[in-house]
Amino acid sequence: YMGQFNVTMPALKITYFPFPGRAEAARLALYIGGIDFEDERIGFEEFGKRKAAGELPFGSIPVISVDGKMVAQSQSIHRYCGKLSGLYPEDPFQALLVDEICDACEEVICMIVATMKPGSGDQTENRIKLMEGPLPAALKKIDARLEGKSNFAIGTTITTADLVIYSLKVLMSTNMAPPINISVMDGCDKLLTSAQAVTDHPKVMEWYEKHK
Amino acid sequence: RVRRTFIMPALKITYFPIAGRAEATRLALYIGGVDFEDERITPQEFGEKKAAGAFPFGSLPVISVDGKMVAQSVAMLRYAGKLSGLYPEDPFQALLVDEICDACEEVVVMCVATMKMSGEEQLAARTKLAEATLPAILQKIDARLEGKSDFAIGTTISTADLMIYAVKSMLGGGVPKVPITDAVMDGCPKLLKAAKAVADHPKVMEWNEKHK
Repeated sequence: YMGQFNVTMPALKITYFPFPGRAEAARLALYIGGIDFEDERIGFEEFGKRKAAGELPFGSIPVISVDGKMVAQSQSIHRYCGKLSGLYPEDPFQALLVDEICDACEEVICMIVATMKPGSGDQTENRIKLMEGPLPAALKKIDARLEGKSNFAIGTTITTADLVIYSLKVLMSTNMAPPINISVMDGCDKLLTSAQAVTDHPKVMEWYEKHK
Repeated sequence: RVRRTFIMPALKITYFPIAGRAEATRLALYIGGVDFEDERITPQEFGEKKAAGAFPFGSLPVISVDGKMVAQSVAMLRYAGKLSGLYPEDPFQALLVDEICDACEEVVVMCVATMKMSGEEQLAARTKLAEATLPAILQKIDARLEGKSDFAIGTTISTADLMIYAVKSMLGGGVPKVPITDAVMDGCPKLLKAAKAVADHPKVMEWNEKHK
Protein backbone atom coordinates (compact mmCIF):
# COMPACT_ATOMS: atom_id res chain seq x y z
CA TYR A 1 0.00 0.00 0.00
CA MET A 2 1.02 3.62 -0.46
CA GLY A 3 1.25 3.87 3.33
CA GLN A 4 4.53 2.00 3.16
CA PHE A 5 5.97 4.75 1.00
CA ASN A 6 4.95 7.48 3.43
CA VAL A 7 3.84 9.89 0.76
CA THR A 8 0.62 11.70 -0.05
CA MET A 9 -1.33 10.26 -2.96
CA PRO A 10 -0.71 12.20 -6.18
CA ALA A 11 -3.54 13.64 -8.28
CA LEU A 12 -4.35 10.88 -10.75
CA LYS A 13 -6.16 10.91 -14.08
CA ILE A 14 -6.57 7.98 -16.47
CA THR A 15 -7.43 8.94 -20.06
CA TYR A 16 -8.90 6.32 -22.38
CA PHE A 17 -11.84 5.49 -24.63
CA PRO A 18 -15.28 4.95 -23.10
CA PHE A 19 -14.89 1.18 -22.84
CA PRO A 20 -12.89 -1.20 -20.65
CA GLY A 21 -10.16 -2.23 -23.10
CA ARG A 22 -6.61 -1.49 -22.01
CA ALA A 23 -7.52 0.85 -19.15
CA GLU A 24 -9.88 -1.26 -17.11
CA ALA A 25 -7.23 -3.11 -15.07
CA ALA A 26 -5.81 0.24 -13.93
CA ARG A 27 -9.23 1.79 -13.26
CA LEU A 28 -10.33 -1.23 -11.22
CA ALA A 29 -7.03 -1.41 -9.31
CA LEU A 30 -7.47 2.16 -8.13
CA TYR A 31 -11.19 1.77 -7.44
CA ILE A 32 -10.72 -1.46 -5.48
CA GLY A 33 -7.99 0.27 -3.47
CA GLY A 34 -10.23 3.25 -2.71
CA ILE A 35 -7.88 5.66 -4.47
CA ASP A 36 -9.32 8.80 -6.01
CA PHE A 37 -8.72 9.37 -9.69
CA GLU A 38 -10.29 11.23 -12.59
CA ASP A 39 -11.68 8.68 -15.05
CA GLU A 40 -11.41 10.68 -18.28
CA ARG A 41 -13.12 9.04 -21.26
CA ILE A 42 -12.69 10.47 -24.75
CA GLY A 43 -14.03 9.49 -28.18
CA PHE A 44 -12.01 8.67 -31.30
CA GLU A 45 -12.31 12.21 -32.62
CA GLU A 46 -10.95 13.81 -29.47
CA PHE A 47 -8.23 11.16 -29.35
CA GLY A 48 -7.29 12.01 -32.93
CA LYS A 49 -7.09 15.71 -32.07
CA ARG A 50 -4.85 15.19 -29.07
CA LYS A 51 -2.64 12.75 -30.96
CA ALA A 52 -2.24 15.18 -33.86
CA ALA A 53 -1.41 17.96 -31.39
CA GLY A 54 1.40 15.80 -29.99
CA GLU A 55 -0.16 15.66 -26.54
CA LEU A 56 0.29 11.91 -26.10
CA PRO A 57 3.82 10.55 -25.40
CA PHE A 58 3.43 7.59 -27.78
CA GLY A 59 0.37 8.77 -29.69
CA SER A 60 -1.68 6.19 -27.82
CA ILE A 61 -4.05 5.77 -24.91
CA PRO A 62 -4.44 4.85 -22.12
CA VAL A 63 -2.22 7.38 -20.43
CA ILE A 64 -2.09 8.18 -16.75
CA SER A 65 -1.39 11.68 -15.49
CA VAL A 66 0.38 11.77 -12.13
CA ASP A 67 0.33 15.29 -10.69
CA GLY A 68 0.05 16.44 -14.29
CA LYS A 69 2.89 14.32 -15.69
CA MET A 70 1.56 12.05 -18.42
CA VAL A 71 2.86 8.48 -18.79
CA ALA A 72 1.84 5.82 -21.33
CA GLN A 73 2.00 2.01 -21.69
CA SER A 74 -1.01 0.21 -20.22
CA GLN A 75 0.97 -2.51 -18.42
CA SER A 76 3.21 0.04 -16.70
CA ILE A 77 0.11 1.97 -15.72
CA HIS A 78 -1.75 -0.93 -14.11
CA ARG A 79 1.40 -2.03 -12.31
CA TYR A 80 1.76 1.47 -10.82
CA CYS A 81 -1.93 1.54 -9.86
CA GLY A 82 -1.52 -1.90 -8.31
CA LYS A 83 1.39 -0.64 -6.20
CA LEU A 84 -0.66 2.32 -4.94
CA SER A 85 -3.62 0.11 -4.08
CA GLY A 86 -1.92 -2.98 -2.68
CA LEU A 87 -2.88 -5.21 -5.62
CA TYR A 88 0.73 -5.71 -6.75
CA PRO A 89 2.98 -7.88 -4.62
CA GLU A 90 5.84 -6.31 -2.69
CA ASP A 91 7.77 -9.57 -2.73
CA PRO A 92 9.90 -9.57 -5.89
CA PHE A 93 9.24 -13.22 -6.72
CA GLN A 94 5.47 -12.96 -6.26
CA ALA A 95 5.62 -9.82 -8.40
CA LEU A 96 7.55 -11.78 -11.04
CA LEU A 97 4.76 -14.38 -11.15
CA VAL A 98 2.14 -11.65 -11.51
CA ASP A 99 4.18 -9.90 -14.22
CA GLU A 100 4.58 -13.17 -16.14
CA ILE A 101 0.80 -13.62 -16.27
CA CYS A 102 0.20 -10.00 -17.26
CA ASP A 103 2.85 -10.11 -20.00
CA ALA A 104 1.44 -13.36 -21.39
CA CYS A 105 -2.09 -11.91 -21.41
CA GLU A 106 -0.76 -8.81 -23.18
CA GLU A 107 0.64 -11.06 -25.91
CA VAL A 108 -2.84 -12.52 -26.41
CA ILE A 109 -4.37 -9.03 -26.56
CA CYS A 110 -1.74 -8.08 -29.18
CA MET A 111 -2.66 -11.14 -31.29
CA ILE A 112 -6.27 -9.97 -31.35
CA VAL A 113 -5.50 -6.26 -31.82
CA ALA A 114 -3.22 -7.13 -34.77
CA THR A 115 -6.32 -8.26 -36.66
CA MET A 116 -7.78 -4.77 -36.31
CA LYS A 117 -4.94 -3.06 -38.18
CA PRO A 118 -5.65 -1.94 -41.73
CA GLY A 119 -3.62 -3.88 -44.26
CA SER A 120 -3.47 -7.04 -42.16
CA GLY A 121 -5.58 -9.07 -44.59
CA ASP A 122 -9.03 -10.59 -44.26
CA GLN A 123 -10.08 -9.80 -40.72
CA THR A 124 -12.63 -12.60 -40.28
CA GLU A 125 -10.28 -15.16 -41.81
CA ASN A 126 -7.40 -14.10 -39.56
CA ARG A 127 -9.58 -14.22 -36.49
CA ILE A 128 -10.94 -17.67 -37.33
CA LYS A 129 -7.35 -18.88 -37.71
CA LEU A 130 -6.54 -17.49 -34.29
CA MET A 131 -9.57 -19.16 -32.74
CA GLU A 132 -8.67 -22.52 -34.26
CA GLY A 133 -5.16 -22.68 -32.84
CA PRO A 134 -2.98 -19.93 -31.42
CA LEU A 135 -5.53 -18.34 -29.06
CA PRO A 136 -6.69 -21.47 -27.22
CA ALA A 137 -3.10 -22.73 -27.08
CA ALA A 138 -1.79 -19.48 -25.59
CA LEU A 139 -4.64 -19.28 -23.10
CA LYS A 140 -4.11 -22.87 -21.92
CA LYS A 141 -0.44 -22.12 -21.28
CA ILE A 142 -1.41 -19.11 -19.16
CA ASP A 143 -4.04 -21.15 -17.35
CA ALA A 144 -1.37 -23.71 -16.44
CA ARG A 145 0.69 -20.96 -14.77
CA LEU A 146 -2.07 -20.02 -12.34
CA GLU A 147 -1.27 -21.33 -8.89
CA GLY A 148 -4.72 -22.62 -7.98
CA LYS A 149 -4.07 -21.81 -4.29
CA SER A 150 -7.31 -19.84 -4.29
CA ASN A 151 -9.71 -18.42 -6.86
CA PHE A 152 -7.07 -15.79 -7.64
CA ALA A 153 -4.32 -16.16 -10.22
CA ILE A 154 -1.34 -15.80 -7.89
CA GLY A 155 -1.42 -16.17 -4.13
CA THR A 156 -4.59 -15.86 -2.15
CA THR A 157 -5.68 -12.26 -2.74
CA ILE A 158 -6.70 -10.26 -5.79
CA THR A 159 -3.84 -8.85 -7.84
CA THR A 160 -3.39 -7.01 -11.13
CA ALA A 161 -2.97 -10.45 -12.75
CA ASP A 162 -6.65 -11.16 -12.02
CA LEU A 163 -7.64 -7.74 -13.37
CA VAL A 164 -5.75 -8.35 -16.61
CA ILE A 165 -7.27 -11.83 -17.00
CA TYR A 166 -10.65 -10.24 -16.41
CA SER A 167 -9.92 -7.58 -19.07
CA LEU A 168 -8.97 -10.32 -21.51
CA LYS A 169 -12.24 -12.13 -20.83
CA VAL A 170 -14.15 -8.89 -21.37
CA LEU A 171 -12.35 -8.35 -24.69
CA MET A 172 -13.42 -11.79 -25.84
CA SER A 173 -16.95 -11.82 -24.55
CA THR A 174 -18.16 -8.36 -25.64
CA ASN A 175 -17.84 -8.82 -29.37
CA MET A 176 -14.92 -6.39 -29.68
CA ALA A 177 -13.31 -8.57 -32.35
CA PRO A 178 -16.01 -10.75 -33.91
CA PRO A 179 -16.17 -13.67 -34.43
CA ILE A 180 -13.64 -14.15 -31.60
CA ASN A 181 -15.64 -15.16 -28.56
CA ILE A 182 -15.30 -16.63 -25.10
CA SER A 183 -15.20 -20.21 -26.37
CA VAL A 184 -11.45 -19.74 -26.87
CA MET A 185 -11.20 -19.90 -23.06
CA ASP A 186 -12.88 -23.32 -22.89
CA GLY A 187 -10.84 -25.64 -20.71
CA CYS A 188 -9.10 -22.72 -18.94
CA ASP A 189 -10.82 -23.28 -15.63
CA LYS A 190 -8.39 -21.30 -13.52
CA LEU A 191 -8.54 -18.28 -15.87
CA LEU A 192 -12.34 -18.35 -15.79
CA THR A 193 -12.35 -18.71 -11.99
CA SER A 194 -10.02 -15.71 -11.66
CA ALA A 195 -12.16 -13.61 -14.02
CA GLN A 196 -15.28 -14.60 -12.08
CA ALA A 197 -13.59 -13.68 -8.79
CA VAL A 198 -13.08 -10.18 -10.22
CA THR A 199 -16.67 -9.98 -11.49
CA ASP A 200 -17.93 -10.99 -8.04
CA HIS A 201 -15.70 -8.57 -6.09
CA PRO A 202 -17.95 -6.13 -4.20
CA LYS A 203 -15.99 -3.05 -5.37
CA VAL A 204 -16.09 -4.27 -8.98
CA MET A 205 -19.83 -4.80 -8.75
CA GLU A 206 -20.12 -1.28 -7.33
CA TRP A 207 -17.99 0.07 -10.22
CA TYR A 208 -20.21 -1.49 -12.86
CA GLU A 209 -23.35 -0.23 -11.10
CA LYS A 210 -21.93 3.27 -11.64
CA HIS A 211 -20.90 2.55 -15.25
CA LYS A 212 -23.95 0.91 -16.74
CA ARG B 1 18.97 -2.79 -2.89
CA VAL B 2 16.43 -5.17 -1.34
CA ARG B 3 16.51 -3.77 2.17
CA ARG B 4 14.77 -6.43 4.18
CA THR B 5 16.56 -9.54 5.42
CA PHE B 6 16.54 -11.44 2.21
CA ILE B 7 18.43 -14.56 1.28
CA MET B 8 19.22 -14.42 -2.41
CA PRO B 9 17.62 -17.38 -4.16
CA ALA B 10 19.55 -19.72 -6.44
CA LEU B 11 19.18 -18.14 -9.87
CA LYS B 12 19.65 -19.56 -13.35
CA ILE B 13 18.98 -17.79 -16.64
CA THR B 14 18.46 -20.12 -19.60
CA TYR B 15 18.79 -18.76 -23.14
CA PHE B 16 20.61 -19.22 -26.43
CA PRO B 17 24.34 -18.42 -26.66
CA ILE B 18 23.58 -14.86 -27.81
CA ALA B 19 22.77 -11.54 -26.17
CA GLY B 20 19.22 -11.21 -27.48
CA ARG B 21 16.41 -11.14 -24.95
CA ALA B 22 18.49 -12.31 -21.99
CA GLU B 23 21.37 -9.86 -21.98
CA ALA B 24 19.66 -7.04 -20.09
CA THR B 25 18.72 -9.48 -17.28
CA ARG B 26 22.19 -11.05 -17.20
CA LEU B 27 23.74 -7.58 -16.97
CA ALA B 28 21.34 -6.41 -14.26
CA LEU B 29 22.42 -9.30 -12.05
CA TYR B 30 26.10 -8.99 -12.94
CA ILE B 31 26.19 -5.25 -12.31
CA GLY B 32 24.51 -5.85 -8.96
CA GLY B 33 26.97 -8.58 -8.00
CA VAL B 34 24.15 -11.12 -7.74
CA ASP B 35 25.25 -14.71 -8.41
CA PHE B 36 23.49 -16.64 -11.12
CA GLU B 37 24.05 -19.58 -13.44
CA ASP B 38 24.26 -18.32 -17.03
CA GLU B 39 22.94 -21.36 -18.89
CA ARG B 40 23.28 -21.20 -22.67
CA ILE B 41 21.69 -23.92 -24.79
CA THR B 42 21.72 -24.61 -28.50
CA PRO B 43 18.61 -24.29 -30.66
CA GLN B 44 18.59 -28.08 -30.95
CA GLU B 45 18.65 -28.64 -27.22
CA PHE B 46 15.96 -25.97 -26.91
CA GLY B 47 13.82 -27.80 -29.42
CA GLU B 48 14.19 -31.07 -27.53
CA LYS B 49 13.39 -29.52 -24.17
CA LYS B 50 10.49 -27.53 -25.60
CA ALA B 51 8.97 -30.69 -27.08
CA ALA B 52 9.28 -32.29 -23.66
CA GLY B 53 7.29 -29.39 -22.18
CA ALA B 54 10.17 -28.02 -20.14
CA PHE B 55 9.31 -24.36 -20.66
CA PRO B 56 6.15 -22.59 -19.39
CA PHE B 57 5.48 -20.80 -22.69
CA GLY B 58 7.68 -22.88 -24.93
CA SER B 59 10.07 -19.94 -25.19
CA LEU B 60 13.35 -18.54 -23.92
CA PRO B 61 14.65 -16.82 -21.92
CA VAL B 62 13.45 -18.27 -18.65
CA ILE B 63 14.72 -17.64 -15.17
CA SER B 64 14.75 -20.37 -12.54
CA VAL B 65 14.36 -19.09 -8.99
CA ASP B 66 15.19 -21.84 -6.48
CA GLY B 67 14.19 -24.25 -9.23
CA LYS B 68 10.91 -22.58 -10.15
CA MET B 69 10.99 -21.56 -13.81
CA VAL B 70 9.41 -18.29 -14.95
CA ALA B 71 9.25 -16.79 -18.47
CA GLN B 72 8.74 -13.36 -20.08
CA SER B 73 11.95 -11.40 -20.56
CA VAL B 74 10.66 -7.99 -19.43
CA ALA B 75 9.25 -9.50 -16.22
CA MET B 76 12.59 -11.23 -15.64
CA LEU B 77 14.49 -7.98 -16.13
CA ARG B 78 12.30 -6.17 -13.62
CA TYR B 79 12.84 -8.96 -11.06
CA ALA B 80 16.60 -8.91 -11.63
CA GLY B 81 16.54 -5.12 -11.26
CA LYS B 82 14.81 -5.41 -7.90
CA LEU B 83 17.43 -7.87 -6.62
CA SER B 84 20.30 -5.74 -7.84
CA GLY B 85 19.07 -2.23 -7.05
CA LEU B 86 18.65 -1.21 -10.69
CA TYR B 87 14.85 -0.86 -10.46
CA PRO B 88 13.42 2.10 -8.56
CA GLU B 89 11.61 1.50 -5.29
CA ASP B 90 9.58 4.69 -5.74
CA PRO B 91 6.42 3.71 -7.66
CA PHE B 92 6.45 6.78 -9.90
CA GLN B 93 10.12 6.43 -10.83
CA ALA B 94 9.41 2.74 -11.48
CA LEU B 95 6.49 3.77 -13.72
CA LEU B 96 8.84 5.94 -15.79
CA VAL B 97 11.34 3.07 -16.09
CA ASP B 98 8.58 0.60 -16.98
CA GLU B 99 7.26 2.94 -19.69
CA ILE B 100 10.68 3.00 -21.37
CA CYS B 101 11.10 -0.78 -21.07
CA ASP B 102 7.62 -1.45 -22.50
CA ALA B 103 8.28 0.87 -25.43
CA CYS B 104 11.65 -0.78 -26.11
CA GLU B 105 9.96 -4.18 -26.01
CA GLU B 106 7.56 -2.98 -28.71
CA VAL B 107 10.59 -2.23 -30.89
CA VAL B 108 11.98 -5.71 -30.27
CA VAL B 109 8.62 -7.32 -31.07
CA MET B 110 8.33 -5.39 -34.36
CA CYS B 111 11.78 -6.54 -35.46
CA VAL B 112 11.32 -10.14 -34.34
CA ALA B 113 8.02 -10.31 -36.25
CA THR B 114 9.96 -9.97 -39.51
CA MET B 115 11.97 -13.10 -38.73
CA LYS B 116 8.91 -15.24 -39.48
CA MET B 117 8.71 -13.70 -42.97
CA SER B 118 10.78 -14.45 -46.02
CA GLY B 119 11.75 -13.07 -49.39
CA GLU B 120 10.02 -9.96 -50.74
CA GLU B 121 7.60 -9.72 -47.83
CA GLN B 122 10.45 -9.69 -45.32
CA LEU B 123 12.49 -7.14 -47.26
CA ALA B 124 9.48 -4.85 -47.64
CA ALA B 125 8.61 -5.12 -43.94
CA ARG B 126 12.19 -4.46 -42.82
CA THR B 127 12.58 -1.56 -45.24
CA LYS B 128 9.45 0.07 -43.84
CA LEU B 129 10.70 -0.46 -40.31
CA ALA B 130 14.17 0.91 -41.12
CA GLU B 131 12.96 3.95 -43.03
CA ALA B 132 9.89 5.00 -41.09
CA THR B 133 8.48 3.02 -38.19
CA LEU B 134 11.59 2.45 -36.07
CA PRO B 135 13.04 5.97 -36.26
CA ALA B 136 9.62 7.36 -35.36
CA ILE B 137 9.07 5.20 -32.29
CA LEU B 138 12.69 5.50 -31.15
CA GLN B 139 12.44 9.28 -31.32
CA LYS B 140 9.32 9.11 -29.17
CA ILE B 141 11.20 6.99 -26.62
CA ASP B 142 14.14 9.39 -26.79
CA ALA B 143 11.80 12.27 -25.95
CA ARG B 144 10.74 10.44 -22.78
CA LEU B 145 14.26 10.28 -21.37
CA GLU B 146 14.72 12.80 -18.61
CA GLY B 147 18.16 14.05 -19.62
CA LYS B 148 19.06 14.66 -15.93
CA SER B 149 22.18 12.59 -16.48
CA ASP B 150 23.49 10.20 -19.12
CA PHE B 151 20.99 7.66 -17.80
CA ALA B 152 17.44 7.29 -19.06
CA ILE B 153 15.60 8.00 -15.81
CA GLY B 154 17.07 9.69 -12.77
CA THR B 155 20.78 9.83 -12.19
CA THR B 156 21.82 6.20 -11.81
CA ILE B 157 21.76 3.18 -14.10
CA SER B 158 18.45 1.35 -14.24
CA THR B 159 16.83 -1.48 -16.16
CA ALA B 160 15.62 1.15 -18.66
CA ASP B 161 19.24 1.81 -19.67
CA LEU B 162 19.87 -1.92 -20.02
CA MET B 163 16.82 -2.32 -22.29
CA ILE B 164 17.99 0.59 -24.47
CA TYR B 165 21.47 -0.95 -24.67
CA ALA B 166 19.99 -4.35 -25.57
CA VAL B 167 17.78 -2.82 -28.28
CA LYS B 168 20.75 -0.98 -29.80
CA SER B 169 22.78 -4.20 -29.77
CA MET B 170 19.95 -6.06 -31.45
CA LEU B 171 19.51 -3.38 -34.13
CA GLY B 172 23.22 -3.17 -34.83
CA GLY B 173 23.99 -6.84 -34.44
CA GLY B 174 22.68 -8.06 -37.74
CA VAL B 175 19.68 -9.76 -36.13
CA PRO B 176 17.46 -8.96 -37.90
CA LYS B 177 19.50 -8.33 -40.97
CA VAL B 178 19.94 -5.22 -43.03
CA PRO B 179 18.26 -2.95 -44.03
CA ILE B 180 17.56 -2.50 -40.33
CA THR B 181 20.68 -1.24 -38.55
CA ASP B 182 21.29 0.84 -35.43
CA ALA B 183 21.30 3.88 -37.72
CA VAL B 184 17.59 4.00 -36.92
CA MET B 185 18.72 5.46 -33.58
CA ASP B 186 20.65 8.32 -35.21
CA GLY B 187 18.07 10.96 -34.30
CA CYS B 188 18.00 9.82 -30.65
CA PRO B 189 20.84 11.51 -28.74
CA LYS B 190 19.57 10.59 -25.27
CA LEU B 191 19.08 6.92 -26.21
CA LEU B 192 22.60 6.81 -27.61
CA LYS B 193 23.97 8.39 -24.41
CA ALA B 194 22.17 5.81 -22.27
CA ALA B 195 23.41 2.93 -24.43
CA LYS B 196 26.95 4.29 -24.24
CA ALA B 197 26.71 4.78 -20.47
CA VAL B 198 25.90 1.07 -20.23
CA ALA B 199 28.67 0.05 -22.63
CA ASP B 200 31.16 2.13 -20.62
CA HIS B 201 30.05 0.76 -17.23
CA PRO B 202 33.02 -1.06 -15.66
CA LYS B 203 30.97 -4.18 -14.85
CA VAL B 204 29.54 -4.28 -18.38
CA MET B 205 33.02 -3.98 -19.84
CA GLU B 206 34.14 -6.79 -17.54
CA TRP B 207 31.18 -8.94 -18.66
CA ASN B 208 31.83 -8.29 -22.34
CA GLU B 209 35.52 -9.17 -21.85
CA LYS B 210 34.47 -12.53 -20.42
CA HIS B 211 32.01 -13.18 -23.26
CA LYS B 212 33.94 -12.26 -26.37
